[in-house]
Amino acid sequence: MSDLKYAAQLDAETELRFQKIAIGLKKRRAASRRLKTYGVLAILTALSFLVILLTTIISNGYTALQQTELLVELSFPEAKLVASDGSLDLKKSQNFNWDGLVKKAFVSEFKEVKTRLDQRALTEIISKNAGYDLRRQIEKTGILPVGKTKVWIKTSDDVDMFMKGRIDRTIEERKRRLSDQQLDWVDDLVSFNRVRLVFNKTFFTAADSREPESSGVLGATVGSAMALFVTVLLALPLAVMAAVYLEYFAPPGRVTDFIEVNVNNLAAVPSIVFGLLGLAVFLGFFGMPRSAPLVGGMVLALMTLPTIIIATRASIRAVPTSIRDAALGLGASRMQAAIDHVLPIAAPGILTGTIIGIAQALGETAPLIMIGMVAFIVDVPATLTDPATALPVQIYIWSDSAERAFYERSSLAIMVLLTFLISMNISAVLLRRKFEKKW
Amino acid sequence: MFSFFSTDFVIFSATILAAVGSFYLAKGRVLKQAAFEGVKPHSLSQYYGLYVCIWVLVPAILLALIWLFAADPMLLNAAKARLVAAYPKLPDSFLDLKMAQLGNIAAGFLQSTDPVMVAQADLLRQAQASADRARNLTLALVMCTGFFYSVRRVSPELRARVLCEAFLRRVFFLAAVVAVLTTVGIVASLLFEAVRFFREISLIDFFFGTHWSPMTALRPGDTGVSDEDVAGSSGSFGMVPVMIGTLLVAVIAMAVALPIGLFSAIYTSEFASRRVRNVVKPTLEVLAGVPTVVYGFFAALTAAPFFRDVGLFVGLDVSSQSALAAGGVMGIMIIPFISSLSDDVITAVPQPLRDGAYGLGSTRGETIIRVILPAAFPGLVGACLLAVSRAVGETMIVVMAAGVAANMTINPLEAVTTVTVQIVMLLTGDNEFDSVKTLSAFALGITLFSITLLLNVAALSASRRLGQRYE
Amino acid sequence: MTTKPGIAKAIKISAKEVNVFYGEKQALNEVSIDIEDRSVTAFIGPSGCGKSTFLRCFNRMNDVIPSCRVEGSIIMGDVDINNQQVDPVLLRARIGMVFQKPNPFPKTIFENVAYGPRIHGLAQSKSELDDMVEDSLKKAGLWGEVADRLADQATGLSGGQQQRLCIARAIAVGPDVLLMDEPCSALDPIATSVIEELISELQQRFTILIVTHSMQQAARVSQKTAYFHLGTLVEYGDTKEVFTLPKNEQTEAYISGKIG
Repeated sequence: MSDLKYAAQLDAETELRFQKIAIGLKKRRAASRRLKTYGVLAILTALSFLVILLTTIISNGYTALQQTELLVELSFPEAKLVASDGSLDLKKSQNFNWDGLVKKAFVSEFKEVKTRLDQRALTEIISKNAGYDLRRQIEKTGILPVGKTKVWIKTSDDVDMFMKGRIDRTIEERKRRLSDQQLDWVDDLVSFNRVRLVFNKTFFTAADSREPESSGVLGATVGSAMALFVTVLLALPLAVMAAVYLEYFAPPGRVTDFIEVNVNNLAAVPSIVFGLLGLAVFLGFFGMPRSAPLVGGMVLALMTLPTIIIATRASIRAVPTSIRDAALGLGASRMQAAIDHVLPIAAPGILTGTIIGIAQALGETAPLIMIGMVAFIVDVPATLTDPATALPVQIYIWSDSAERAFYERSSLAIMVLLTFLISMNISAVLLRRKFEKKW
Repeated sequence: MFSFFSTDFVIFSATILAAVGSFYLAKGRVLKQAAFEGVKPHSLSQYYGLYVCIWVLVPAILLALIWLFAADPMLLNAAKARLVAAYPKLPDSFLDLKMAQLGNIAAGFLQSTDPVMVAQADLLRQAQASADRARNLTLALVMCTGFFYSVRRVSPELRARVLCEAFLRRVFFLAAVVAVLTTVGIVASLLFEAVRFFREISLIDFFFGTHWSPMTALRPGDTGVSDEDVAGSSGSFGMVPVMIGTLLVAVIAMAVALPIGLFSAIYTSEFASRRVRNVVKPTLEVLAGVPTVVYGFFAALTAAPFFRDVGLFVGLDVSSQSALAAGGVMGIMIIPFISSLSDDVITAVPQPLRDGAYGLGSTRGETIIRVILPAAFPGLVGACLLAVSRAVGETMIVVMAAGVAANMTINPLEAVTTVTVQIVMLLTGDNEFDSVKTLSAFALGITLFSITLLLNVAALSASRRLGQRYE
Repeated sequence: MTTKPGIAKAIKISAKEVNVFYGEKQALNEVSIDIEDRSVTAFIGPSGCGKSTFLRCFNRMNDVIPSCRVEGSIIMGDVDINNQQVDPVLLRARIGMVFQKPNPFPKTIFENVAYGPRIHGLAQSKSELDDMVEDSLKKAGLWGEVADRLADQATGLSGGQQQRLCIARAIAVGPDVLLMDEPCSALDPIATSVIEELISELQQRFTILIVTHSMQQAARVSQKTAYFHLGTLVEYGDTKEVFTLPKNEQTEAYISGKIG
């Protein structure tokens, strides 16, 4: 140990060099830290965008979950509505002026309102469809109430907005949708507890309507559901067959390459181009009905096809080759090995890819607009060829309207749409986790 | 009229029954034959059933499909001819109206008092009924022929499984070809209509003209303007302002998405722990999962008014349909395209390069900026091109938040229009299908398709070059 | 570890009781070794015995691996390399590394060599930088082959040339110790011999630690050899002695090919 000597220290030149490096190091480390900070800032900015987006929508939409109603006392003229056996006569009911009944009953409660002008202003407080709603309500029960009855009817959308605090009293009367006089009347009703906010069932049970308070997303949701049903029906089998062909049966060569290039390219084509295709070929050439969920579903199927093909191919590839080899070794044909052995194992992955593809298709708007699903449809579609609209298109239509009430309903419709999407994506992730086996 | 889903449920069930029946029949038959001859059948018995089933169903299905698409037009053409004979003096536009009426009367939606129309409707109904009968008969005939042909061939020597699988393979091949057919369909339909457009408007006028106003294709002050004059009025279909608008919005979108996306990607791939990365990356991808109509809603009803108010506050005149609002929100949507793809590309840079840089005494920042990013550059370019392609093809955000009038400006505070907005505006609303206006939408469509195709191909080749560097 | 009394060279680096853990697994066990100044020390041993891991301790490259934990001290001069207070950037400016597979940056030849001086701010002017690059390439024995094509992409060079480029790149920073992790394992025999010659030249200026799979190579280039087995330093001494008269029977078994 004694003749061990530690190496001489660095010579002067080297010492100087290292000092220089040490000095410069502070700046370099600071620059490195700055880069990291920029990264964090960028991520936080992006996330805050998301938060702002969701907050704006939720804060505007949650009020649509409620609808303002007011109490009116009226009595039904039996003679005009009742059949000989005492039950409600539907034919009479159809011809009866329900609207007038409601309006008259409402106006009569305000004794001081005399002039026609004032009366008209007063009736603007109640929904234009109040009479129709009352009729449907009575017809459902089939019995006509006797004597003075208290009924709750919807208010107009302006009053509804006022009750939810969305109309500013302080701005000039000219610029408001409700005059001071009307606001006073509403205040009166409120002070007598004749106004209430109830759960907006109509939103979930009705289709589109001219009046916001009578409109709902059921029509659009059913339209979307029908279209997506067609999409899955067409896209899933075609995609799985195409994927199996490309993975197992396609001979290497130019034809196969061409097909693969096409599949990959289609995945990146703008959605509006698919809409143009649907318009020109399905509507124009084949003469299929406009606005039909059938056509919408077909267009969406073409859009979703590449996504599911790619997902299926990935799932098939993830199946260990030993499975296929074992099947082939036991004498199965290539087709049997593919269908009986590989596909069942790849199935969860295929399902996950399909759910994700359908979720994407649910949010598509532009192609459906092109094939006409953007009309004003007041009925819930009953068959695949009835004119319909879709949920994202309904949002688009409503966002165009001037009424504030449609703005809040669009927001709520967006929340409904996002709920569907979130649940679909979560189920896809759960499915993947549940069936993911580590081979 | 489309008479598909309202057709007889009976026929459908009968077909199913026939198929199932022939399956079991053939299956049983081969087993009996095998027992009789004392040999084993080549394939499992169900393949014989499947074989016959295919012969029964497939020709019938093909026939039904052809009938579906061919019969109605033929019937309607015949009805139209009869109508022309009945109303010889009727101008073309009224003829279409009469045809629509006829359809409604025949279907029972409309009541008419015109005896001629009623008679025509009756004729049409009869024609449809006999066509239906003919179809059902032919279908039954085809199914029977298929059945007898195939059943006769059923024997233990028949290699049923091989035949069935060959058939299946062909079906699978056709399924794969659907993708090609779709592309062909897109190109053909767009080209077809675009060519009709370019017969009226010259290519030069379209691609280089600087005035776009298809809705007002009439020059003010013209009287007695014929259709040719209107169509030929150059400057109405010049798409340069529309392209500039599209590019302006795309550039604004990239200006938002690129820095945010790139720095996010650098952080998630180089600085973040695995746990943080596994949370942040999917969360950013949520931005891509939000439907574009929601972004459009946000852009039109929240972002645009916000920018307008800020502008008022600062003293600038910001349009309520500013390119800034539309482009900005579009940028938010595109962030995940840049961040996810860039993250993947950066992660794919081989570890030895990093080791080499660290070994020489680089700080983390230096390694990233001087070594990793340059190495990942082709892939990053690819990601950007894909993002631009997405921005150019995006529809709902701009339809809801950007303007409709073509405006040749690069000022982000003004309203501009884009290719996709014009396509939607031209084809929704009450335009005749054949007018030059609606055809111009297809010309725009094929231009859009070509541009996004080029961008996608460029993106792919850029990323390919990344892989080649490390060979 | 014992050395015969003789030419007592100075000790450049002294490692004391170094333990390395990957998570729960222990890769190195109480390794202590004194590295001689201006000599080539070879680390040999079968695959997975920890020699590369040990090598990477010298320039704290194990810091890059999150699950890795290094205990013990590695003293150079009056500084413990393994102390967390020591800045790895400064350390790596003194201790350079050449890797198993040549890893030139996808840049020009010039830029590859200039990288180190640039980031550390060693050159005041362009001409100074040019001189440093030329000097390093000459020391690495590559200047003659690339002098006229410094602007070409480094990836266009042959394997052997790339490795010499990596050596030039490491030298350009001005270290006094060079770590080489199996530098010739990806090269053909001719390129290998060129590099081995280079190592003999470099040894006059630098302290070189080389990990090698090839005993013949260790015998050719090194003055001292350390034999590692399953994370333990089994034997360390003059190369000639280790290969002809190993003191430990494990060493003997490896050298005669019984294990490996």
